[in-house]
Amino acid sequence: MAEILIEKMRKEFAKGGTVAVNELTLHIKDGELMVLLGPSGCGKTTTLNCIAGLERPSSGRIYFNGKDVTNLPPHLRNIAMVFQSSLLYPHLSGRRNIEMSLRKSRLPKDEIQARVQKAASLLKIEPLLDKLPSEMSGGERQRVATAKAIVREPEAFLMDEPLANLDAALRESLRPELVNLQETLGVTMVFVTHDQVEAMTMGDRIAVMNNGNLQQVGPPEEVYNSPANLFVAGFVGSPPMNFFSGRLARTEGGFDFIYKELQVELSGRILENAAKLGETEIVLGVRPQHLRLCRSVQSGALEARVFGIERLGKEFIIIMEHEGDARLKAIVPPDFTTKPGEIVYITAKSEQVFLFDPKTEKNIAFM
Amino acid sequence: MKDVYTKWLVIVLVILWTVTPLYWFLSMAFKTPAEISSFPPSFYPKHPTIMGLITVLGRQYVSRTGEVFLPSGQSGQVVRGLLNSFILAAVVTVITMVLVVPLGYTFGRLEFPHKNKLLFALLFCVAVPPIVTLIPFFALFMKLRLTGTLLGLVIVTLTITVPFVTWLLSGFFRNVPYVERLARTDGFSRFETLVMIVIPMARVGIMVGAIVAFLFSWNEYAFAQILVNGTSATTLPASISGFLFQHPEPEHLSAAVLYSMVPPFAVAYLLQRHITKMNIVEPMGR
Repeated sequence: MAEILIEKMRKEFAKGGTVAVNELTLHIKDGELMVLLGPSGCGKTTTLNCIAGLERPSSGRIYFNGKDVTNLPPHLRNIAMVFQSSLLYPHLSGRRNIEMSLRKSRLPKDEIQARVQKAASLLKIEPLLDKLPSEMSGGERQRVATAKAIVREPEAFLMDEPLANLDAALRESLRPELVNLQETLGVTMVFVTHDQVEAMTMGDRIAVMNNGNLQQVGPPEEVYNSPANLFVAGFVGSPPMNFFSGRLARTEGGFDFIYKELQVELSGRILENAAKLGETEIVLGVRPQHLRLCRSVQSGALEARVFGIERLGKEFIIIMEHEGDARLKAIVPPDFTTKPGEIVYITAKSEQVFLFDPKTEKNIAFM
Repeated sequence: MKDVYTKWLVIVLVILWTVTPLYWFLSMAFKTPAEISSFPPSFYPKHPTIMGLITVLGRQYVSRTGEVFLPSGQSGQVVRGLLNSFILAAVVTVITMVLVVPLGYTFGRLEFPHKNKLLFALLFCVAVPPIVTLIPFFALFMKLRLTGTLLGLVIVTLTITVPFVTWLLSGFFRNVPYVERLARTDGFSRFETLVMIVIPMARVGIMVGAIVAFLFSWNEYAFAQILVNGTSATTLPASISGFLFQHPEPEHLSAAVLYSMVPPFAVAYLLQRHITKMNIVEPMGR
C-alpha cells in the first residue's frame, strides 16, 4: 500500500497564467482516506490528476512510498481512478470494461478472470457483467467503475467526485460502502469532493483547499471544531457559520465582542486569545446551532427580521435578514414559533464562538 | 383521425412529386425505341424488355420476336466508366478514411496551437465550390500530364472528400464520451486509445463518413467531365454525358443512369439501419 507525499507542488496551466495549485505540501498516510475538499476551481481535481499522473506539476515533487513518481505515467504508478462521469467505456460490457484495467498488465487469462470474478462478487455486480453501461443505472455504473478500479489491486484509489452525478439517496447509500471497501482492502484513498457532508462523513482526514491554496488539514472534527480561517469556517458545516464584523472592547472582567447591539462576553480560551490582541477590529463566527433567538427585546441582542423557516422535523432552521448584512441562519428547537416578517433578537453562547482576524482571515486561536 | 389522413395525403403527394419524373425516365430503360417514340406515350412499359440494359453494356440483344438490337455506340465508354467509377470510389474512400479518422480525431478531441485557424481553413476548403478550383487544377494537370488519368481524378476528388469528411467526423468525435483519462489510467497510449477505444465507439460515424466519401466520388461529375471524359480514364457520370450530343438513344441513356444508381441505393439499403440510428449529437445515444 502507498504513502503519498506531495512536496511543494505547483501547477499552472499556461506560463504566468492562473495558478491552479500553489506550493501544496500534503502527506497522505498509508491506508488513509484523505478527502480533498473545496469549491469548484480550488485546485482539488488538478491535485488529484497530478497524483494520478494525468497532469504533470509545473514544479514540486510527488513521492509514493518515498519513490519519486513525478514523471511517471499513470499506469506505472499502480493507482486506480474513478471519475465523476465517463466512468466506463460505453461500447463495452461490464465485464470487458473491468478487464480493460488489466489489459496492459500481462497477467495470465485465468488470473484476470479470477480477479474480475472476485471484484464482481465483492461489489455484488455479477448480474451487470454482461450489460452495457447504457443499460445500467447511475449507481450500478458507479459500482462497476469501482470494480474496474479494484481489480488492478492498486496501492491507491483516486476518486474524482465519484458520487456527484448520483441522486441524494443513492449517494448516501454508496458513501458507507466506499468507506467500508477502502477499510476492507486497507488501501490508501484520495477522495475529491465539493460536498462538505461527504467530506465529513467519509474522510479520515480532510484537506480543505481554496484558490489553489491548502487551507487546513485534519480529522473532520478538528476541521469543524477549530477551523483555521474564515474560509474553512464558512465552508465546513451546514448550514454555514454566521459571521459578524465588529470589534473587541475591554470590560472590567475581560473582553466583549461588540457589533451594533450585539454584545458577547468572551470567556475561556477565546478570552485569553482576545486579551493578547487588545481592542481591535475582529470577525466573530457563530455556528447556527449556537445562536440563541428570543422574541422579546434583550440587552446585548441583535435585532433581525425573519425571512424564512425551514422545518426539518427535529429542528427548524430560521433564516433572518439584518440590514446591511448577509443572511443569518439559526437552528432552533421545533417548539420555537415564528413567521416570516417577525422581529427576533439574537444572542450567542459565549463559549462557542470563533474570532477571526479581519485582515489575515485567520482564526485568532491559531495566531 | 382526419389529421392522420391529411398527413398521409401530404406524404404521398410529396413522394409522387419527387419520384414521378425519376420513374418516367427510368421506365424508358425497359421500353423499345418504338414504344418511347409512340404517341400517346405509355405510362409503363407495355412489353418490358431488358434490351437497353444489355446493349448499353456492349452486347447484342435478340428479342423473342427475333428482332436484333446492336450494342450501343456509347457502350465502350459506359463499361469503362462503370469500372473506373468503382476503382475511383474504392480508392478515394480508402485513402480518405485512412487520412480522415486521425485528422477528425485530432480536430475533434485534442487541443493544439492554431487549432482554430486550421479548422477555419478546413471549413474554407469545404465551402469553396469545387468548380472554382477546376481551371487551376486543369492547368496544373496539363503540366503534370495528369489529365485523362485516374490518378489525377483520385487526387482532385481527395481535395474535396478529405476536408468535408474531416469536418463531419470531427464533430462526431467531439461528442464521443470523454474516455481519454480513463484510457490513460488503463495504460493505453494515445494511438492505442484511438484504435482500440475511440474508433470502435465512433464506428457508426466513421461508416457514415465512408459512405459520404464513396457517394461523392461515385457521383462526382464536374471534374470527371473536364479532366477525363472521352479518355480511357472516364467515369460513369462523365461517360453518360456522352449520350447528349449524339443520335438520341433514350433507352440506353436511361439504362446507364439506372446502373449508376445501383451502388448508392445498395449502400443506403444495406446501411439504413445504422444511418437511421446514427445520432451526431450523442454518438453513444441509447
